[in-house]
Amino acid sequence: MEMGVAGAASRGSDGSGAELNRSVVERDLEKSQAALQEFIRRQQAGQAAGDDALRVGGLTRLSGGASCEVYGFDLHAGDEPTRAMVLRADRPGKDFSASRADEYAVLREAEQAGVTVPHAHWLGSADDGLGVPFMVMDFVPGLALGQRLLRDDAYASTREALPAQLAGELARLHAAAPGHRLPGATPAGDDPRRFALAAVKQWTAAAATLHTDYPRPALDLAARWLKLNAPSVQEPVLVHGDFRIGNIMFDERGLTAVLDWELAHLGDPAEDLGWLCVRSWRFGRDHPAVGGLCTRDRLLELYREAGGRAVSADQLRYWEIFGNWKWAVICLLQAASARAGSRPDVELAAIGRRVPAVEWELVDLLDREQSQ
Amino acid sequence: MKDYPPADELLEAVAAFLDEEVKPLLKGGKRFKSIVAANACRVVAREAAGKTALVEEQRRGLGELLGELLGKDGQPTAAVPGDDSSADELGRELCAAIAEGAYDQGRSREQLLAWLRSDVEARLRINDPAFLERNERRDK
Repeated sequence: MEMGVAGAASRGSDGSGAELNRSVVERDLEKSQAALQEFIRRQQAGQAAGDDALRVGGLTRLSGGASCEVYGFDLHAGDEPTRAMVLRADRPGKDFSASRADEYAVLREAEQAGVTVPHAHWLGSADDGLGVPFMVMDFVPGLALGQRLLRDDAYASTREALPAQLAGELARLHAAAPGHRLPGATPAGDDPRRFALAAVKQWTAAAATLHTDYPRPALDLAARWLKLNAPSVQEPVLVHGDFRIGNIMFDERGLTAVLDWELAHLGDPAEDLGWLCVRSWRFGRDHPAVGGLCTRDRLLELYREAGGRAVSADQLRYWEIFGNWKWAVICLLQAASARAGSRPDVELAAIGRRVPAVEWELVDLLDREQSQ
Repeated sequence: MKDYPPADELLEAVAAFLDEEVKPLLKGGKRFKSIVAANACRVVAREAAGKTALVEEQRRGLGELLGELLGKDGQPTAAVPGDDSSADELGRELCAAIAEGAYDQGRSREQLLAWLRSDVEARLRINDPAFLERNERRDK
């Protein structure tokens, strides 16, 4: 079983390098399994199957990203067919991502909006037996590995189907009226550029936590340009925040689920479209621009046809530049986190040396823009 | 004076050990990690061989760029031979000038973009030569 989740999957990691930094869940799988069973029985109390008939089995680590670990398990309930489920648990010592509670709320909201997501069943706090916040959701079969999607003959039909499916998922998400309390602070004021400015400010602040004695003029130039050219948003929408090849689950026919809602927030619908164009999500298949699958123009056309918001080519370019810049910052943050564990991790550290490629793309994109 | 063998040769030997003797013994995430580790050795080997030239070129280019910006009548004021600032110090100076808007428009913006392009390419020759090869194929 392969299930790619977050950046970990695109790096091909199974998390096995983190033995010395294991989460509380993994430290004693049997104890965690019993606690999980206890938790689910409490959630299901009084329901048809009867508490005692509920059993949890086969808890296994699937993968893990920087902020979250993913486990698979089976839920047996009396005579009902066994259900494959997924447990997403926080890693101790979290980064910039949303809390599990926010992610749970956003996931429920996306499902209501008609976005293809795994159904989220329950949310658990650190006091619910696993020692960290977690949520339980349905297991969705499929792969999320960009390399396989773009290179494997088995996924030729998937590559055909995906552009329209991706545009459709985003159009449905962006059409939703965000109801619940969204993660992070919604920028105050009435400047229509405040959503873009807040995003630039947020990632500038993240970059400022890094070592400042490494000058990064290409990234600083991009940050400056993004600040000066922030687009207006008339009607902010719920933005996925990490909608890209690698976070989309697929099978031989097409999309099966949109994963990883940890960076969801209120903002410009074009942010999700621009992030999808970032060169890193082409996994070496550099053309066409949208994940190696279709052109930028085609993406905008499909998004419009699916009932998406009005998004101009200028807006899309702005958020593509933003996306490349943000990805460079994330790479540097991940490289810095290589030293955070009990021993330095070569896989994380090496991510820092991917930054020059992102800088190249940024310089190329900025060069195509008119000067101020 | 240096000891023999030089860093790049030593690291190439480590990378070959990881590739040929360690990787075949591993599966899954550990196997992937051995590939990352071998690649990291090769990055450091190329850096060890090319670092001095890279930094000297950065010093020269940055001096020229900043000199052009500050000088009058196109005469550079920060002539490199007399200036003993390190490439990092000049880089930080450049970042400060960018933040102040010195490169927002016109000829200075074009000059900065041209310099950034050549510097990023020089660093890619160390960090990710395959990326540059892909770009060349793309441009054809």
